[in-house]
Amino acid sequence: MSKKIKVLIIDDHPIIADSYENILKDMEDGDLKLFIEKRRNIEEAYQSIEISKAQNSPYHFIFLDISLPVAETLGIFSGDELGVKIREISPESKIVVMTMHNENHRLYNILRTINPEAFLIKSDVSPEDLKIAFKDLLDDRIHYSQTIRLLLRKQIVQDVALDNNDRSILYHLSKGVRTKELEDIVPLSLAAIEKRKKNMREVFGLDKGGDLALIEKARQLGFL
Amino acid sequence: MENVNGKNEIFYNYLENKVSLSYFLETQSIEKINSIKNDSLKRSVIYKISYDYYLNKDSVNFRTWNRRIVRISHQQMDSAKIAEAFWDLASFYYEHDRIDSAYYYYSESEKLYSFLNKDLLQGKMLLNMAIMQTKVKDYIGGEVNTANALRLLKPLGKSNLLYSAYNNLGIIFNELEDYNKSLQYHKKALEYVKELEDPIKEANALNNIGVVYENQAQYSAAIKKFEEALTTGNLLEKNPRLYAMLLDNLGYTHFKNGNPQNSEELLLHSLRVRDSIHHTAGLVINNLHYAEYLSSTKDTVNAYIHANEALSLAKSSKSYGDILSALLLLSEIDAENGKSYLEEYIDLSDSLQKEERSIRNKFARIRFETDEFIEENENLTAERKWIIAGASGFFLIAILLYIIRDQKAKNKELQLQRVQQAANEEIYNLLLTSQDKVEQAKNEAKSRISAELHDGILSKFFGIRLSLEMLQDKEDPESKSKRKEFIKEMKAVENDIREVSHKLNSAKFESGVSFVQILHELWEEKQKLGNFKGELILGDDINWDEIANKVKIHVYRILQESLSNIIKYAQASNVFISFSIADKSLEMEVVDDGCGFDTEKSAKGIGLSNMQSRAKDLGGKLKVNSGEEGTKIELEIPLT
Repeated sequence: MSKKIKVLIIDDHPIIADSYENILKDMEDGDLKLFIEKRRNIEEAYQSIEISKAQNSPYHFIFLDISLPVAETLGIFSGDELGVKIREISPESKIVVMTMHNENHRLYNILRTINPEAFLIKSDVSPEDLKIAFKDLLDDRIHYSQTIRLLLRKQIVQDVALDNNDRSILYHLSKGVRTKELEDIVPLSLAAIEKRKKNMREVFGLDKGGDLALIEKARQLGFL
Repeated sequence: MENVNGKNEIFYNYLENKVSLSYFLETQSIEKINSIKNDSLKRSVIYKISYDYYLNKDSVNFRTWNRRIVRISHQQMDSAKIAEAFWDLASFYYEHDRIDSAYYYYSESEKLYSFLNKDLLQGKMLLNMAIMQTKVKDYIGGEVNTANALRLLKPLGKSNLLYSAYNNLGIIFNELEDYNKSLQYHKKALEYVKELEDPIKEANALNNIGVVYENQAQYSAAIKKFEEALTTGNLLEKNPRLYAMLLDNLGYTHFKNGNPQNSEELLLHSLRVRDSIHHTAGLVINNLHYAEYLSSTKDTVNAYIHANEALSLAKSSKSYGDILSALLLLSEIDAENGKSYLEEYIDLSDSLQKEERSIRNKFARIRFETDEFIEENENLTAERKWIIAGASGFFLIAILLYIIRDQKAKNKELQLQRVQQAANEEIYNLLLTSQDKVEQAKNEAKSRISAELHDGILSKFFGIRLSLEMLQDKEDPESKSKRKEFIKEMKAVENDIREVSHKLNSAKFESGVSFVQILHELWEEKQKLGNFKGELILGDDINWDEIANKVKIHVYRILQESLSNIIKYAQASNVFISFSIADKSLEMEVVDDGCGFDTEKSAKGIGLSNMQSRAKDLGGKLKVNSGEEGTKIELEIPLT
């Protein structure tokens, strides 16, 4: 008997969505029958997922790109936010995050908020890898690509505990945001931000150097 | 030594009246006296010589020696001797009927004694002056000076002087026809005279009282006084003049009182006495009185003879008052020639009045000068006080003003510095914020390009790669055509990359942009405010990055000030600003077509001087040309 699997691919680049489709189609056989839908933006994707739920035939798998154009009408600004929403609406759907990002902070954030069943870095991925990942998912296994596994290992080995705000501060600093401007991004006062930076410096074993040294160390330690 | 002693001895002998003037002058030649040292002894001797000549009535020698003593006393500032000499001179003039000169020297002497604080002598002089004034009928002046004399003399208790003073007052008020007052003073004089125990003077005082009574027409009272005076023992021998005067007055009063039977004998007796002592003035009055008496008895012939006698005597003695009386009487007696006598009377009376008036005027002038002298002295002291107070006050005020001005200037300078500093800070902030903006824009551009690379190009590449990998092993025609499509797709990505690269290249990130931006912002703002057209031209070859911030700040300020001035005053419709580099100098030119201003007048204006000082601070030059066609400001700053 053949399995009928519903797949939703969300990516704003048609060429990518097409290539996923081609690869997945390649896996079809007598046992596996795939119903693949492609959506190029958050609004369409969101609508499709809601419909699928209404028809009581949720997607089995959802391929989610992180860099997606903002959907202002829905108040969803990126792929990660959409992922969180999908978890709410359609918890039975397995999420495959495919992203071009490779900054540890972003990856860590995705792990924490979406906790996808498969997490792949686009640059790591070859058609074979994608097939393997998909197979793992079909077999109810979790699949992380190489980069993610390394990141997780580093985090586990670390005995440094940074909370989300700390990571946010580090991330934005590394992006060239000034401490003064952090006030508008991180929900902390300027004094609190300075205090956190001082704490991180202590935790990282830095006795001197400014923000640059802090970011360098954070990068070494895999927080960025 | 002997010689000197000998000489001194004779001097002392002379001064002590042990030798006479003539003997003294026989032994001492004038040259000898003149040649000795000018000391108090010499002055005393010369004074005595002068005084002795005065006593001897040798007027020529007296005046010579008097002048001499005045001169040598002047040399030694011996005021006392000068005063004494003036006193003698005044007395001399008085005796020669030169009343005005006498008055002058009395007053000069009085001034000196006043200066020397010699109250007695000053009082004496005042009294003498008063008597002189009384003589010329300056009764008011006389009264004032007598009062002044009395003020000085009263505390000294000199009865003889007090007698004279009161006597004088009595005479004055008699002449003023204030007989009660006159009597009052004469009675006071009589009191003092009694203290003197001088019967002659007492008789004289009684006579004066009698005369006043007579003038009051209280004839019996007058007769009583005259008779009392005549009881003075041996009066005929002691003072025949007074005796004759009393007889005359008594007789005349009897006649007036309507008892002519007693008169004739008395008047004739008096005439005989006066004739025997050749008392001309007495004879004149006596003859007049007798003539009047004879006239009343209709003995016109004898009356005419006596009246005429009186007139000729009065004329010979130049006693003008008496001449007048004689003329008046004659006009009555000699009815035929009455008119000519009256005419003569009027002529003489007129000229006399004129004379008296002129003398009185002279007195007034002398008195006025004296008063003025005193007042001037007082004024001078007061003035000096005022000058000192004023000068020190002025000096203090000047110092205060100077301090205040100095502080003000310092304050102003500080304020100016503060203003300038604030202005400089403002520009720094402008530069900083503009740099911030640039930085922000830079960051934005960076993240935009990064996003473009990341989301666009990378994603496209990923899609192409993934697809190509998929198609790698497939040889079917469909796959082949797909591959071609992907390769075409890669070409599109190439174009994308080129575009991004071009964007990266075209974005200017030099910090110099910021100053240019500031200049443009300033220009646009001022242009809107001043409502003028024109252009801001920035030379392409200016590398603003290489120009020091200090220069930028000053240049910006000067431009700002220039534009503000144009807005405020020039009413220009076109303004051109140009920046250029020439000979390693930054040049700025601001030209407007406004109404211009007077550079000479406004040179001190704070705006222009500020601009100048900024230019100077940078070692540059600022030239301002202004005329009716507009203003041109040229700034040149060396860049080294």
